[in-house]
Amino acid sequence: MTIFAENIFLCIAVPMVVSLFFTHGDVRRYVAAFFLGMGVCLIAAYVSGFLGMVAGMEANDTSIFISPMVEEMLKFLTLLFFMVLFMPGDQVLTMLAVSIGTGFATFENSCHILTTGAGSLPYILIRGFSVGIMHVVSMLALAIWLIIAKRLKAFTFSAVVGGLSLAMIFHALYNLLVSEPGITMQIGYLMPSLAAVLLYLLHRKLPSLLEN
Amino acid sequence: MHSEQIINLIMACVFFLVLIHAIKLLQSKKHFLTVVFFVFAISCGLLSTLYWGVYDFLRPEDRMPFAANELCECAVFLLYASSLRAVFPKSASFEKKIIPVALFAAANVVLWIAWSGEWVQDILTGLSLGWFLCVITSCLCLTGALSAAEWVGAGTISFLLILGQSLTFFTPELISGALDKGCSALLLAGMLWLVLKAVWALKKEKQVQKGLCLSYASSAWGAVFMYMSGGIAYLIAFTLAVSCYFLMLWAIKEEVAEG
Repeated sequence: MTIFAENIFLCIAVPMVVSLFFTHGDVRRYVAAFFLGMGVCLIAAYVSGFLGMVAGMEANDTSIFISPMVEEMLKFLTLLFFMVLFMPGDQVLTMLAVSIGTGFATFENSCHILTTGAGSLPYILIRGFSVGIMHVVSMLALAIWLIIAKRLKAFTFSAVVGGLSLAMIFHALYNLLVSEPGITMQIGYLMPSLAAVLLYLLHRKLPSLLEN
Repeated sequence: MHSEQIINLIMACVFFLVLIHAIKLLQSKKHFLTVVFFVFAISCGLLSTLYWGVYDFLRPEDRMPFAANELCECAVFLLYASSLRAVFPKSASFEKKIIPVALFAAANVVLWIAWSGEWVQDILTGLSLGWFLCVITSCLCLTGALSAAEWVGAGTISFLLILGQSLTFFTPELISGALDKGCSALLLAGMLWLVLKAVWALKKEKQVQKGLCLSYASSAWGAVFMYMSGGIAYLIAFTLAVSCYFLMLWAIKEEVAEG
């Protein structure tokens, strides 16, 4: 089924943009980052599709090999945009990263549901708990790493490439695992939730870990 | 289960073990930055190996195109380099010996491209490995880990390796086979020499920083060995490269314990 992603984007984005005029502080930042996350999802789909076509790949292969790199890179650039422009503190940076990831996942899931239908509740739940969480987890992990690098005064090219690569490989591993039915798919669906639990624990321990 | 899957499984287990031990080192908060970079490098290595393993399991017949794991391998070298530079902040200073090392890395890239025809990943991996080799060289100079004669020996081995591997493209099969074996012997000799020197420095001489540099150098040489080998030579290279992860961990542990 053909969907018109730009139209869906406009439909969801317009009330968000309007709400920016009536909100302030962290709420406004959250909504703005969420909106940008959705925009990034749309652009990433164009870029991945184009690169897939140039490389002569089918849609499935494009989503396994190209999309993780393109999507994580664009999400990171959005976070970097906020970092450079507003120099946010650790808490705000984490919030922005989570918001970009959530916006991305929301828009991707909306388009996916419109394509495949929303008749099966178990599938919708699996989708929400896997892809939905995966985008949040990869962004959160990246943000935590950037906070560590900033605090330790080690915000270098290597540190950025390292964080970005980790986000990309996590995303790529998920896409690869769920690409074929069977045990690998089940592991793939569980992976983001497990990673979310681990990150939650790490995020709680972070302040004490970075003391001194 | 075929040999590649077994290799991936062993590699993943080794990365996991090293990662667990490295995370424990974070608690002491000494040389925190070095350990953090090392933990991150090992995490990248683990996920990259898992990706390879899953791909090999799902699509054993297909050749993998350029994917995220290639970037991860580059990141591993960059993070190792950062981990080492955190111990030696002065390693940024330029050493003359870096020039031939950079040329060696460039020659390796040319050979990889000639073998595989994969330009993008070979150039990216070569750049990051080259940077790692340059940082190691700088640190080896700082610590005086190698004598002048040993530097000459390392340079000669590297030159012979590049020459030998380049000649395999222009010589008949019989001679190129012999050249290949000769190169594998040189790589093995270099690897064993570095590993033994690192163990000696850590255990007998109790010179931790020297041992640390040499353990990283062994790991880099292990990567060169693996990329340059096939068949049984690859398995030997793999075994030695795996042992280098433990060697690096040991060296970092000693460095942390020393404070």
